[in-house]
Amino acid sequence: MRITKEEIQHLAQLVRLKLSAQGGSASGGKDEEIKKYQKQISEILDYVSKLQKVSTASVQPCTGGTDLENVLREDEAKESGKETREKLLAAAPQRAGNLIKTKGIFNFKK
Amino acid sequence: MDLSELTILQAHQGLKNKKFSSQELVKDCLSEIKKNNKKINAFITILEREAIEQAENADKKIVSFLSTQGDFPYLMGIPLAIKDNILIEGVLATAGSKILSNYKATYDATVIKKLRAAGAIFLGKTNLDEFAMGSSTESSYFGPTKNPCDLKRVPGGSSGGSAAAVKSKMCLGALGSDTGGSIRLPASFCGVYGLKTTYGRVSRFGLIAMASSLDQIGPFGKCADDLAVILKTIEGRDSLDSTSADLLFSTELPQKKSLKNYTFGVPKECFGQGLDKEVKKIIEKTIADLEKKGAKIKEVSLPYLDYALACYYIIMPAEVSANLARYDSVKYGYSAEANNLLETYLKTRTEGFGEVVRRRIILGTYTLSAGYYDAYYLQAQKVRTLIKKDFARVFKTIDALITPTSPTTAFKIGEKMDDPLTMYLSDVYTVPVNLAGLPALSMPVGDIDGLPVGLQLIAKHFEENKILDIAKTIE
Repeated sequence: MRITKEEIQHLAQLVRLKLSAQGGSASGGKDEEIKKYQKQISEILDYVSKLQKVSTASVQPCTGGTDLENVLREDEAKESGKETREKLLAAAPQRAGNLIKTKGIFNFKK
Repeated sequence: MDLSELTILQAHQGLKNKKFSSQELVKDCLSEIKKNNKKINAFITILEREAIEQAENADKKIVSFLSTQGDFPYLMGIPLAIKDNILIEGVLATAGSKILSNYKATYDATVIKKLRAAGAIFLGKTNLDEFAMGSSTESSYFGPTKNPCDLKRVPGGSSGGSAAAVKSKMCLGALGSDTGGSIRLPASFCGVYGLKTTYGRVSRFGLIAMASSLDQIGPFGKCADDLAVILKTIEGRDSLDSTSADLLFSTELPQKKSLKNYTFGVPKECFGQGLDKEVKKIIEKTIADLEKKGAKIKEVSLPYLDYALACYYIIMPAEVSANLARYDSVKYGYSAEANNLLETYLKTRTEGFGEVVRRRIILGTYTLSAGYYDAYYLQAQKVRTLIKKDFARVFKTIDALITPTSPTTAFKIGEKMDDPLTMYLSDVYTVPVNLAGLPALSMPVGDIDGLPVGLQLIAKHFEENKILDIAKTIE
């Protein structure tokens, strides 16, 4: 296997996924999902490793499909208006007046 | 005659000659949707009331346009379907994911603004693989879409809902998006026309991002003409999308031309191992017919094509992992109940993303990690340069490349879901086009036991007119 269970778990933590909590809808058990990803991602990494064979010593990396140049503009604040603000705030799961509300970062003992 | 069977140009003519109204056209499509959507599952959201209202308006506008100018825009009064990763203000935009299952768009995508201004009508939002990640439209939170040609089979993905809707006469045309084949593969599997546009030709403002160096919006239709009229309406520079090209485009209605005008390249890499024998026969017969009618056929070689899929499966998940970091349960979308912020993130993202999406986020994060970046991501970007150069070299001597759109016809639902690598092979001929940012069109050229076979035409950057002409000439 190209990737370990521990690596999968570490990556999941970094991207804020809790693999063991769900267990995967299709795969059943807790460890099952990590194992399944380990196997699938290892297979994909095996497959993509064929790129290592390509000689690219003097090749520039390509970052996009067409030869676009940077688009620059002044960094100016623009008033978006009450209506837009209300629409955006209305999309938030929780709000308090004109603020978006979230859970706290720390748990305080009461 | 059933109005939903018409092409866009035929419907335009009918509206112009007052043979029927936009309301009648829309109602015919809505009745097809009511009849067949339960079994095909092409639509996630159906905008019945809104579409009828839009049609009433369009009918009024048509009358006033006819009296003042004698004509009106092609898409005025024409009912279309929109892939559910493109935003329509006030309408659900789920991207096929639980995490956006309650998200109503707060603005119109640029393509929607343009279609609205032209008088087009939105019948609803179509099903897709979750966040457009997939080749089969099976990974949608809203269940798989079925192929109208055989309900046991997939429609291709990720724009499977749009392709199935066009095929089953639920709309006259549709929008999809294409990151690695997501317009062309479903067009091929469902037997309709689909066009992946040149990177930068169509604004992506309001398209839910998957892999930003690859994503493009494009049209589905029943013929080359219909692709052209939709493209003509949605293309063009947009200051809200910094990747949109600063060029003047003018898509023209395609013209039938003599095939003697064209030299086609046939890449030998696309006819080897993995290509279904029957598909190969049909594509080779089409090429032989073209040659008989005067086209010049040239075998070409693009040696780096063999690395395209591997290259794509590094670049795409890497960009996915960055783009999907924004789903944090705070600003919009699904939000799980938990005690603190970290737990909320973990629970929301774990419950909100499906299996395929989670896998790609993890893979993409891995290949971007310190220690692996150079070996995977940077190397893939360099190979991408080589693939692009391969295309540039062959286009010096040919007008367009011809390949099969996919190595097989539509496969069975469930057949490939647990085997990502086999699923990926469906995209082996479409992915290189996205890596190089080129335009490409898929058109039906035959079928095997009722399952359509698609031919792919690829041209140089911004040469959509050329491949539309060619498609019109072949059809």
